[in-house]
Amino acid sequence: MKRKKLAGFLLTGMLVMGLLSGCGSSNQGSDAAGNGAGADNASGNTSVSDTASAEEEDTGENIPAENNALNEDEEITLHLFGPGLLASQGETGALDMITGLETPGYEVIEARWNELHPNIHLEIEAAPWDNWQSAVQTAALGGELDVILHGATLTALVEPLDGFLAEDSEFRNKIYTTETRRTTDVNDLSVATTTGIPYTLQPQIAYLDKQIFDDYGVELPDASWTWSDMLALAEKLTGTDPVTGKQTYGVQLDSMDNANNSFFSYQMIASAYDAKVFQYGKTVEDSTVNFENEKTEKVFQMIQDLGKYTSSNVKEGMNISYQLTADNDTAIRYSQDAFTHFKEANEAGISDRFVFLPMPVIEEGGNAGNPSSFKGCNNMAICNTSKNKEWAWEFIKFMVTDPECVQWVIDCGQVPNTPEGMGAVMEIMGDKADAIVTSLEGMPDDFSNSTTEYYNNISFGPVVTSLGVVTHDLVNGTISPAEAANQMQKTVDEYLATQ
Amino acid sequence: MTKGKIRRIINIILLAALLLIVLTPVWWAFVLSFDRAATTALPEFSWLPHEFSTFNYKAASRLIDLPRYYLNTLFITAVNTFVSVFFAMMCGFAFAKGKFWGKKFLYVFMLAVMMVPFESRMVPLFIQYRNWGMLNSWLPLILGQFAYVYGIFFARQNIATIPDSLVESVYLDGGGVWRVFFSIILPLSKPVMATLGILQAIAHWNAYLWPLVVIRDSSKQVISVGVALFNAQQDSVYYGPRMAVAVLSAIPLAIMFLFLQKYIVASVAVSGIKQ
Amino acid sequence: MNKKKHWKMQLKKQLRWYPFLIISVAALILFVYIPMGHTIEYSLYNVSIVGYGEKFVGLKNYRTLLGQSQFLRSLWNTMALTVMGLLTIPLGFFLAVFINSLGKGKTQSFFRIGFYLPNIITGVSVILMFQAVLQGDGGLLNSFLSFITGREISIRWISDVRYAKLGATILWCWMNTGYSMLVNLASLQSIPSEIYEAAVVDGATPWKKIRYLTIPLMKNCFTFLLVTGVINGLSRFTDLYILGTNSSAGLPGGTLQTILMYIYQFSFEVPNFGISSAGSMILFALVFIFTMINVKMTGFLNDEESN
Repeated sequence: MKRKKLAGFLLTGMLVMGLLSGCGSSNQGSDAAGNGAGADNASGNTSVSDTASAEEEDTGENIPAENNALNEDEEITLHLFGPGLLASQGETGALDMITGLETPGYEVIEARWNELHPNIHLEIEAAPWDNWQSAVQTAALGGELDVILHGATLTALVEPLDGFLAEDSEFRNKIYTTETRRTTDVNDLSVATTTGIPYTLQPQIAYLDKQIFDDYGVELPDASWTWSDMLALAEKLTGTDPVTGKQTYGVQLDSMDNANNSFFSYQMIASAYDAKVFQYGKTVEDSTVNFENEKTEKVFQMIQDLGKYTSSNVKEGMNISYQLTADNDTAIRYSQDAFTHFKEANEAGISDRFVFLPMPVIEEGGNAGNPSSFKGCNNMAICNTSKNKEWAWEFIKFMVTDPECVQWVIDCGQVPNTPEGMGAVMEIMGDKADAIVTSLEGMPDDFSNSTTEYYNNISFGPVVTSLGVVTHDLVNGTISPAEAANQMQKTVDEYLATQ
Repeated sequence: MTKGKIRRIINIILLAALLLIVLTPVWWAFVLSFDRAATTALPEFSWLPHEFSTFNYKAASRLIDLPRYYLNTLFITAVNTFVSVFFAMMCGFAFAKGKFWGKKFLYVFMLAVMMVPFESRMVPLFIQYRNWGMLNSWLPLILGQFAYVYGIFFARQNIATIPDSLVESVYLDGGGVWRVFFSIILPLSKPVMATLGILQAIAHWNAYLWPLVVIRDSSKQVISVGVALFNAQQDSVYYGPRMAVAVLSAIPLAIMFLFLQKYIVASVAVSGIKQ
Repeated sequence: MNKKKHWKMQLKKQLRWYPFLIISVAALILFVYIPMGHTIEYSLYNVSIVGYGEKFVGLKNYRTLLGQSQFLRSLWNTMALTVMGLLTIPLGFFLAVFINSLGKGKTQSFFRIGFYLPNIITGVSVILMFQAVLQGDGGLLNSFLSFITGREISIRWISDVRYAKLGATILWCWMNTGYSMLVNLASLQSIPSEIYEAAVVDGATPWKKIRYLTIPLMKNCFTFLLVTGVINGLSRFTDLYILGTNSSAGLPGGTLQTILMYIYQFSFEVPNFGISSAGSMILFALVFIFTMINVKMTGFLNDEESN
């Protein structure tokens, strides 16, 4: 009875607003879009909705919208919402806090789009990073959302894009990579579904301070280095600098000041050692999760060992700067935003002091030899309740590949998702761009997308925060690698018990 | 006498030292807001900026539409504070001086939800407002304020201490309950209203999650969300600019407190917590 | 006849009170009770994001929660932090005693404002500053303690599992002692001075005066602060969320994850609205039980007769 009432309540909301795509999963929406695009979308026929009437209602609503694919004359407003580069730049531009230089706002994007599509209006609303998941989730519930900025991870809310991509092989060839996820929200878990398209890419890059290496008389590694090499170097380079007499640290683990991003190191080392934890079946129940294996413990051991050669700020996860500065005291850092860091160092006239290197290589498994880099990005996704999915897709393509958009991304200090745009970055960065290019070209498609065999932050509970806690504890030496593995396993097991 | 004086001076010195300790973080934040050296790493603590500059304030005014956020927040805070305090006084009066059927039940009915975590009912509440078509307006921020439970509780405790004889005298003059409320209760409750007012003003001025969720149009957005937008860099904390925005957004509250503070102490003094 | 008239008059007398309440009661039903009803409903369902499919599971969510170590830990953390947070009451009391002894005037009002200031400026950024205060290496608090004791002190107040709760309590006291001081001060000032004069005649020392006269007289004040302090403590969220790097993980080692952070995590970060709703209901039950015990024991919320 209660359930009926709830369904009725939801249905009413749906009829009134015509926006909710119904219960079960969002596959109805993908069906519709798949048909609309005329593509054979594999994701369309995998699951059946529990609420037949909702599906009927939904399909009925979507049919008229599908048929007028890309009619330029019709007045449409596209609504964009979410955090990321558009939000932090603002409409009229931002000031770079370090250099004090102006960077352009998204008015550039709007102007260009209006020039190309005068009848399709853009309504961009920025969300801050603070509590962004709650903002986007409720925005999607509120309706009128077409493009979700940074939505690729919010799989319940977004439209699978494989159908669109299959239609547009030309577009796919123009870009480096897509964002894919395995999730029962859009497909079964054994399949990686494209949920978003990045418009900027931030692969993890290592920054080696040549000066510290020289002071200690230690030779710089090359791009074929391993995590063990990094550890050995870190050990040698921690201590009192023989030349300057200042304290130096071997390594700065990335994002230790953000519990939700502290998993970066884990993910990269796990891929280097091919330490598989997740084995995907079709559903969560069919899948197995095993953190307590030898390889994963080796990963945790590496994190713990690297932790010995970090500064107390890194250990405490506080007051960490990612800027490359003249008073740098850390021999090896790694983080995203290599292009920004280059610009900052360049502005301060010290870019020659730092060597940019891809992350240590993958040692085992099918991807051996490639950098074990983790790639962050700013991406865009289509909201599965959007009534203008075709136009949303058109906008995403525009944002990723239009020369003016690409230039805007570069002006904002970000790396665009196209090899063509990368050319422009190379002109600015010179040979320092090699590390980025190597990382992007060597990165398998479904590699650092948060639902890999090493890591999953969507379907298996609070893996992301737990890894943050565990990483912190490992670096501080308060738990052993075995305990860390056990703790992770327990988190996942307890979460699965709730399903 | 001299012994008392010495004790008083020691007392003042001790309190001043303690106050210094307590306010150091606030002062430091203020100093950092003028420090150009405070970017992604905190500079060493100092009583004055390492590198004095107004860059942080320039950046703040360049990057967020402060006047608009200020006006929006000022309006919403004023309306909410007025509404919540006024209706809390009405209810408090009824509970303190009224005799009517269901009084105890209604009192418990109200107090029972004093602390239902807002986060837990946020999504259902959001859906409700969506169905009413009120999203992206200020109504969801204001409507909920008509029941300020803590205020009702506080007001009742205070109004209960107003002597019944004063109330009776109005009845004898032929006045009704409304006249009692407006001519006796409200004038005598200025301190209570001041206290609740400042508590509410602080709460509304700093409200973040709910405005973030219900308001999409940045021209209608409030200052706390504006501050968060300003801090939108994912990877780094820019301390100086952050503190500049923090200082700017705290100024109105500090001014308000300076004006109202003498009432606040008085209010607790006449409240039900007194002996 | 007379009786009926009397009854009618009584009714009329009663009816005039309801207009005072009606709007607030309506608002409470619409904006608190109805949404809360939905929360209770969700807590019986397996639902990840509201609007994207739900399945009735009965009390399963409650059962899993009570068997989940992470939830139990957050429950324990919250209670421990709440109890430690009550330190603001004695701190505020002694502060008030000192300030009160200055006598009314400019000096007193200066300290009153000064100590209350942290209560106003509790925005995100100032809480962020506390990372620098509580940091182990070169943190302000440690520098201060080293200066006072003359020994090198490097306690990692919020990144060491052993001290994290203490560090969090220092922040809590910094933010809330001002309010406690104000309430205590006002309460102190309402004690009739004759009582003290009598004590002076008896030759009581200042300490004895506080111990045997003031403290017993302040019972109502302490109860008030206790009730509100516990309610605020149980719903602690924002400061620890910011201190924990805008994450609900509750670093270090999850020792600072409160129930509300847990609820937030399962509402938005790992969406499982059924679980988070059940968590909310458990938190609500806790607050409710505590408040009721208090009502029974002190008659605090229901002191109709005493007034």
